[in-house]
Parts: sequence; C-alpha cells; structure tokens
Amino acid sequence: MLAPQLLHTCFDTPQASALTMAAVSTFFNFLVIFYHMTQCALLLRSTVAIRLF
Amino acid sequence: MLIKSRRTCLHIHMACGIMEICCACTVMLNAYYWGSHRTIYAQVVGVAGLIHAATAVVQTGIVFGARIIMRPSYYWVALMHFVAATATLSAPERPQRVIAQYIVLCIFTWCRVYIAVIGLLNYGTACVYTLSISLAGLTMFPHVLGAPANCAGMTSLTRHPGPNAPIIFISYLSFTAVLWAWTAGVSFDSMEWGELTSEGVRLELFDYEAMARWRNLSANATPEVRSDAADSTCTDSRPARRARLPLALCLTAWTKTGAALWT
Repeated sequence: MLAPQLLHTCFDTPQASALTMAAVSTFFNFLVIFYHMTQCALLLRSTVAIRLF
Repeated sequence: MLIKSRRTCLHIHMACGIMEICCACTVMLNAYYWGSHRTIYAQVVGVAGLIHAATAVVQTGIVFGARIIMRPSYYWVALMHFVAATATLSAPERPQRVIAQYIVLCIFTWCRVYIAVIGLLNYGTACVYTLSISLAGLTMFPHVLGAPANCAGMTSLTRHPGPNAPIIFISYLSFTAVLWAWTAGVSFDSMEWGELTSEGVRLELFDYEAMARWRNLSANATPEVRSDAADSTCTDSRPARRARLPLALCLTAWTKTGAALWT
C-alpha cells in the first residue's frame, strides 16, 4: 500500500513548473540532437573523404 | 575504442532515449494541446525508460568526470528514471507521470546546455563535466519529485515549505563519497583519492584539431601531389566510389550548416 501512495504523492501532483520545464527541455533536446547529428555527419564525411581520396 | 558489447549497449541506450523523447512529446501534445490521450504512447515511454535506465547502469563504470561524484550521480539518475518509468507503466492514463519521467531523461540534455554555458563563460572548465551533470541534476530534481516530496522534509524541519531535492542530492553525494572512501580504505590525501576525484573528459565526438591538421596538410601539399590525387580520383570508375559522392555532397552541405551554427 505504501508504494502506490508514495508514487501518487510524488508523481501525480499537477505542477505548472514541470510542464514549463518539459517544454523548455524539449527545445534544448532538439538543439542537442541536431548538434550531435552534425558531429556524426562530420565524422562520416571524414570517413567518406578518406575512402574517396 | 569501444568493445562490441558496450557499443551494442550504447546503441540500445540511444534508441530507447530517442523513442522516449518522441513518444513523451506525443503524449504531452496529446494531453495538453489536442486534448486527447492514448495510453499506448505512455506505455512505450515507460518500457523505453526501463531499458534506458538499465543500459545507463551498465555504462556507469566508464563514465566521464570525477568518478567519486559521477558514479553515485548516475546511479541516482538511473534509479529515479527506473522509479518514474515504473510509475508511468503503473498508470499510463496519467500524463503527469510521463512528464516526470521525461524530465528525468532531460537531465542529460541540461548537462549539454551547462557544458555550453561553462565553455562560453570559460569558468569552471577544470571540472566541466562533473559540474554540468551536478547542475543539471539540481535543475531538474525539484520538478521530478513534485511539490509534496520537495517540501515535506524541509517543512518537517523548519515548519516552512522549501526546496528539499537539492539538499537530498548533495547529502546523498557526500554520504556515498565518505562510504566509498571508508569501504575502499582510501584516505582523502592519498593518490587513489586523487585519481577518483580527477576530471576525465572527452567533450567532442569529432576531433576539430585533427580536421585542422588534415586541412593544413592538404593545403601544404605540392601541386604535383594534388594533381596526381585529382587524376586518380577522376579516372577511378568504380561504382562503389561513385555511389558515395552524393552522400559526401549531402554530408558536406549538412556539416557546413552545422559548422556555421556551432562555430
């Protein structure tokens, strides 16, 4: 009985700040994903360039 | 270099993280923008979160930063992620639980944000990874635990509500550091302790210095060498190499855009 009560206490409280933070984090998430994709593309381009030339 | 099992683990970790982000965004848009909720997305978020937490625990042994801080921090984050994913799976019809789990995942995002901020300010660069992870955790934990859990401990101590999650986190880190030193029999002024607290980091996936060296090498090559290289490229008619050219062009366009944004 204690565990469901604890989960309910911690996670089911409506928090406007949590939703705002999730929205802001989503923006940074996609920025970070784009950044890492750029890094991967740089690596891949180097590999392709080395194989080509 | 990564061994094969670790690489596989990392691939599963990344795939689950991306799936979690996409499905959590769908849940949030459904619940708060379109006004509907389908539990299947929440269930996918929960399962992906469990796998993500498990693979994070497997990789914690080779974590960057000061290990005395980073290992307990990652175990803490993985535990929080596991609990949040369990909460999501136990009641997938409640979008608040998905948001809490998503916020735990976003600690890894905020870490990158703080690394960028520290790099920009050029302050605290000696322990940039450890500092970034700690700040990211302190940023997100109050939103994960919720108002009652945040305020309960402080309210019982001072009779006034206040943020409790940072105090819990810092107390946990101090406790694990002392416990580690005690169980390993390491004194705080020993060399072993110095190794545990020293910062080990590799921030960039791509080596920009190697790229600069490669470009300098190409620029300093003699005209004969360059023309020889050009001839050998032009006369090469193998279809596999021709097939790579569009890929190389696409990658060049992509990386030029990225480099213009990030440098």
